[in-house]
Amino acid sequence: MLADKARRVRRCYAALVRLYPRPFRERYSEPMQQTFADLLNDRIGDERPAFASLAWVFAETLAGAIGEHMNMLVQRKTLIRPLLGTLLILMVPLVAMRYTGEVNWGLDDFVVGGALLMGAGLTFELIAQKAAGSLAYRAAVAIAVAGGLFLVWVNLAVGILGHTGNAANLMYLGVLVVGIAGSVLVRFQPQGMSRAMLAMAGCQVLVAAIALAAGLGQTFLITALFVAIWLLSAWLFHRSAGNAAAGP
Amino acid sequence: MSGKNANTPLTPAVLHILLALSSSAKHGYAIMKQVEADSSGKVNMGPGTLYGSIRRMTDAGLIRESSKRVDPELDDQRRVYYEITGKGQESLDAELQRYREVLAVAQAGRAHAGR
Repeated sequence: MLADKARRVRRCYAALVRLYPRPFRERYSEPMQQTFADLLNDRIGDERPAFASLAWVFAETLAGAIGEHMNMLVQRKTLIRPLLGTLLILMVPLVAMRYTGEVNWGLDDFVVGGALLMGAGLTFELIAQKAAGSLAYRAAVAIAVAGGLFLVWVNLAVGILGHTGNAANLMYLGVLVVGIAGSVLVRFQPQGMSRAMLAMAGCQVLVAAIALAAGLGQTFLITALFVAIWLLSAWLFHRSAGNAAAGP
Repeated sequence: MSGKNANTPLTPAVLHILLALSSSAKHGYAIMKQVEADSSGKVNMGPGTLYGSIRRMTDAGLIRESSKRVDPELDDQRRVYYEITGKGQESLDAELQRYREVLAVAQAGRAHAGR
């Protein structure tokens, strides 16, 4: 019974160690698991509250995984381009505000806008690294990420369905969830990514159909625009898969 | 950390790991236990901090993996032992010297204030 519990805890810890970046994992996954097994054996016969001490070890290891990822991002200069891009784009409303009253951004607008742009840039850098050298793959990722950013931005700014803040707009979150979950499930492989983009296009049409049926208005133009974005990205991923199969 | 020389001050985690390895090569859990014992239980290092530090210290040349198996009773093929390098020993000596100097300054200051 106790051995079964210990085995389950060790398995959970092994899953946690998989969150570390691959180069780190390759060097330290085994010794880390061995160290944890030693620690667990010690704690089993210990009077200390086992749950609290194990929870601390899990939290500490998770913090270590996040730290190693951050360290890798800094070392590979992955953060620099998204950061520079974000600052440059945010300069546009900042400068415009000095010359026209039409642009009126508050601090929260800059914070949300900055977070969205930085998140999109970082997503692009991290996914595009997976196919270094493939122009089609990088273009497909860029278009998909830009499409996702545009979808979020439009929804936050004005909303596509009904008035600003209409909860029906949350349906568009489903389109993004399908894309993100699909990409993770296919491990960012180009052929699978192509299918994930097709699924996003399907979801986009489905949301438009539900909105039309529910009397929330017709969204033909904006739906066509997003479907075109997802289809273009799907086609580029498909091309990238073809190039990879054909070899150098 | 790779650009650091022996005179660069060490972080507490690095200092404790170097101290633990200064007597003999040890595996991860033995290092954790040694650090806990050396600090009278005040420093509690988990595997995340330990292996993050080991990675940085190995890259900086302060420690290296050892082929020695010094704990035959508990030994396991998966267990990796680490040992201090010459550069690591120099860094540790320099850090301990800094502590001695700080202590001397503090003691001189207290003696002066007590007069």
